[in-house]
Amino acid sequence: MAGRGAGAPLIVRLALRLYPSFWRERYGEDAVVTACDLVAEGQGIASVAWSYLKGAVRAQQRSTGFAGPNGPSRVRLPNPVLYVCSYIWLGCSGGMLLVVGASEPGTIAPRLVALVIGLGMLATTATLSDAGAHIVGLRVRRAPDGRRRVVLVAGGIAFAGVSLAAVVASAAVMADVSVRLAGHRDFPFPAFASGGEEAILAGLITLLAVLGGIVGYEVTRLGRTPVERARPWLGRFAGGSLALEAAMVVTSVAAWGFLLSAPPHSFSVGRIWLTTDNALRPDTGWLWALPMGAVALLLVLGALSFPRRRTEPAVSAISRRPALSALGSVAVSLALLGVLSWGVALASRVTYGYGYSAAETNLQTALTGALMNYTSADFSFAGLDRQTGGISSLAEIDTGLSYTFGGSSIGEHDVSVASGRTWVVLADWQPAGACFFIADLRISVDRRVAGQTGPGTFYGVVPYSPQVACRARRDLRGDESTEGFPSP
Amino acid sequence: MSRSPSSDPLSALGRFGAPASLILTSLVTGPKHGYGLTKDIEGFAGVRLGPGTLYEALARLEERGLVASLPAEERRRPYAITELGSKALADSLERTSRVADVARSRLGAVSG
Repeated sequence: MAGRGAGAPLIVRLALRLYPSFWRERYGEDAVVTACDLVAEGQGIASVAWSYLKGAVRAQQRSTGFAGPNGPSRVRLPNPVLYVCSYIWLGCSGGMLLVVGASEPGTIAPRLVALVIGLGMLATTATLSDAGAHIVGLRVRRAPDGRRRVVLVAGGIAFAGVSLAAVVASAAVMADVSVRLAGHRDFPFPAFASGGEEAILAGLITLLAVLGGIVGYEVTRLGRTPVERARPWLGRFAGGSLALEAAMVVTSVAAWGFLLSAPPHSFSVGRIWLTTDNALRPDTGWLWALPMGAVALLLVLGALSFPRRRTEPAVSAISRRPALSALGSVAVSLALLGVLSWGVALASRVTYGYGYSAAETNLQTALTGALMNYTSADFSFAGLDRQTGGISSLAEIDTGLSYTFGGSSIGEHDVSVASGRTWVVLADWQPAGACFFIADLRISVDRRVAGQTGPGTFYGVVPYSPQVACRARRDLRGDESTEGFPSP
Repeated sequence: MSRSPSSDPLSALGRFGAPASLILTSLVTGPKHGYGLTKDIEGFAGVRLGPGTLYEALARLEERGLVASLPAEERRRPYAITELGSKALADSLERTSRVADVARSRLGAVSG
């Protein structure tokens, strides 16, 4: 139909473009002419376009399902809508991850981020499951009887199981992300009360929706069973996938809203410290968001252009390339996954260095201040926490940091200090969950300091450290090196 | 009460049953394209089908072999009722007629 819709209003042509390709090939030309005639006689363009738009959604829903033994296919996961939502999410979250600015770490609504990330994962999983189910279903349709059908149906059910496992795994990862964001490292269930409720709830809703879609699909596909009489009801239940669709739309809107309105934020995902900047800030974000948006748009157009299959006898003759189409769906899904992985990998690389280098830099600054104090105080660290003999305490030296003596570091700009006459231990807690420390021994000591007895400067890190445990003390232990901070 | 879909293909169309009946009725007088169907139905039934609904119903009718699309004439594609479609329409009208007769007689009994 491309290029043959001349004369029809653009909005009408766009609405017609949303129909499955087989539909456009069969009815598109006549539909264009009908639209032209209706508009010419005075019917509103919007009214015509709206009518076609509703029809396109229904046609897409039917065309992505599988025909029953006698009738039309039921409504199942709305593949194109799923793709669109996935790509919208991909675009915005990719932009969010890519636009990493070296802004001051602050606080963010981590649960919102967890929700966006988690639902995006689920959308991707569901999209992949949908494409896979499509391929399995096509094969079943081609072998309607006999042993091969039994094998394929069993395969379909197994596939449904794998899909469910994937969705459950996604939900678990989402929950884990939420819990980690809330600062709990060990994934205890009580942590749900402080960070993961929304993510867990969204995961359960999505799980039920996908489960409904898969169960409904399996039941309708198995044919004339007593359960089939409940098909209309099951069809509506399978329409629970609409809940998934709605959830993704809401999430996408929320994510875009987040990008448009949020000031720079910092948050942690596992061991990675992320800082986001406003994606539409013209000096930095736009440059990244634009290509991501273009990629997402191309993927959406690609998904919409795939021919959809019909398996009803009267129409099957015009569906000539089901295998190619199925491969195309898988290719799009893989492209989606690839772009997502690329975005996450790039963001991780950038932010990893940023987050941890801040702690390392702050500790080096604190050590410089401590050594200044040490020199001024006649080669002693004993007066770090107080002003003695006109010598400034460590806190009075302009390092831009705050210091806690005897307590835990409360953030990367607050350094916990413990010292003796000839040694000092400085600790700095990263909200990502790592405790960095420096132990400096001026001379050999009998009793170990941070596991060391010989003189020197030792750099250490305690991975997965809660904030309260990041307290400088003589017996602080972790991974240590004399060459620099080890990776947590 | 329930009737198997195969014995009543128009009822099996669900929400598209009514538009399908109108389309089949219109096609009884000869093949028509989309716009022609819209105008004809508007003329005899006073109902204006939205174009999206029209083509959805047409697609469903064609899937079931009740309507056949003819070779396109320029850019318009005419549709014709099939023998199966005529029979389905006749069956549907017969059922509707029976219900209408019962309704009329009962209304007469109540009012008279």
